[in-house]
Amino acid sequence: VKYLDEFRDGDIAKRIAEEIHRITTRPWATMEVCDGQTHSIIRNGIDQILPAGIELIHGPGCPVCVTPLDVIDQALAIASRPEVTFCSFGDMLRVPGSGKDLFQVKSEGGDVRVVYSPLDAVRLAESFPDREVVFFGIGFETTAPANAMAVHVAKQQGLRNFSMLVSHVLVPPAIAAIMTSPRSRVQAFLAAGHVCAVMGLHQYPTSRAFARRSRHCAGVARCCRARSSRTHAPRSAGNARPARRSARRWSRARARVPRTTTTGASGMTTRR
Amino acid sequence: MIGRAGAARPHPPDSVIVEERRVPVKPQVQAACDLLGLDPWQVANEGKLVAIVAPEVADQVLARMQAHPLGRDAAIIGEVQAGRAGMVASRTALGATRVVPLPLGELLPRIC
Repeated sequence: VKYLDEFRDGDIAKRIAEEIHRITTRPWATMEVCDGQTHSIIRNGIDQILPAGIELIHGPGCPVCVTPLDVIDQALAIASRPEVTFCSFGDMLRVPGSGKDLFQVKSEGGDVRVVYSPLDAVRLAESFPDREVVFFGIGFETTAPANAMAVHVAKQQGLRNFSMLVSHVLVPPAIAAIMTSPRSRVQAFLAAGHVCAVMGLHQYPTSRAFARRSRHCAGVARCCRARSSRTHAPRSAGNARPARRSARRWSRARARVPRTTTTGASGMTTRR
Repeated sequence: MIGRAGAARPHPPDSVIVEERRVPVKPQVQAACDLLGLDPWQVANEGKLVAIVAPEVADQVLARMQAHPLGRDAAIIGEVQAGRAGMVASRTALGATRVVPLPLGELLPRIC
C-alpha cells in the first residue's frame, strides 16, 4: 500500500529530529493529543531522539480511555443479555468496568463481537433479525460520522433490531480545559490532524483568544493551526543556535519546572 | 537468527536485542497488518524458525539457510546479551531502544 512506508522511513525521521535539535533553544512542555500519536512515539522511540528539553505529556485523545465508567457498565449489562449481539471496536473489550470487562462477558457466554466498522454491525442486524444487535458507539469526531452513517443506513433499511450505545466526545473542549486549567504546564499541542480532517480548523479558538484565557504563552494555539499556516511553533527570530549552547539554559529552566507524571496535565490515566 | 554474544561468561543473565530493520517482514504482511490495526510482531507466525547460535558460526549457518529456497530471506536479526533475564528489547529504525512486550491475550485492532 502506498503512503505507508513513506511514513515509516527512519532516515527521514532522523533528519526531522536533527532539525528539531537545531531549532530548539528552550524547553517545551508539549502534549500529544491523540493516543495514536502516543502509540507511535513509544513504539518507535521518538521520545528518545528528541532534544532533552522537549517534554512529551500524553494527552486525553484515547477514545477508549475517556469512555466513562458508567457507560462501560451499561455496555456490560446490555452485552450480558441473552437476546443481544453486542458489537464493539476491538480495543474496548479489555477496558474494565466496575466489575468485569467485555472479554469476561464473552467468556461467560455473552455474544460479544469485534467489528471494524459500525456498518458491519448493521449487516449483522440484517442477517440475524431475531437478535437485538447493539453497537458501542464511542470515540471522538473521527468515529462519529461512521456511527451516524450506520444509524442512517439502519433506518433506511427499516431495521428494528439495531441500536447503539452512544458515548461521543469532542477534542477542542478537552484542549480548552487543559489550557485554562491553572495547574496545566502544557505550552504546545501536537493536535489530532485526523480530527481536523473531519471538522476543519474553525473549532479551534485563535491564539489570541487562547492567550486571553490562559496564563501560558501566546503561541500555544499555533500548532493547532500549523497545518494551515505551515509555521513552526517553537521557532522565533534569533533562536537558531546550536543545541549545545543552550543546554545550560535548559537545565536551569528544568530545575524550575516540576516533573510531570505520565498521566499528563489533564489528570487522565490510561486504563490499558 | 540471533547470535549468542558473551557465551564464554559463566552465568550472565540473558536478554535479547533485536534490530527492527533486520527482521524480514514481507511488505504485503506489513500492509495487511497496518490496514487491520495489528502488529506483525504480535501476530502468530507459523512455519518460521528462530535460531540462537554462537556468533562465530552465525555467518556459516546463515549462508546454509539462505542456500535453501525456503530460507532465502533468512537474516541475522539480533544478539543475546548480558542484561535483564528474559527481556527482549528492540532497536527501532530511529536508533532508539524499546522493550518488546509479551502479547497480552487476544490481539485487538486499535480504533485510532
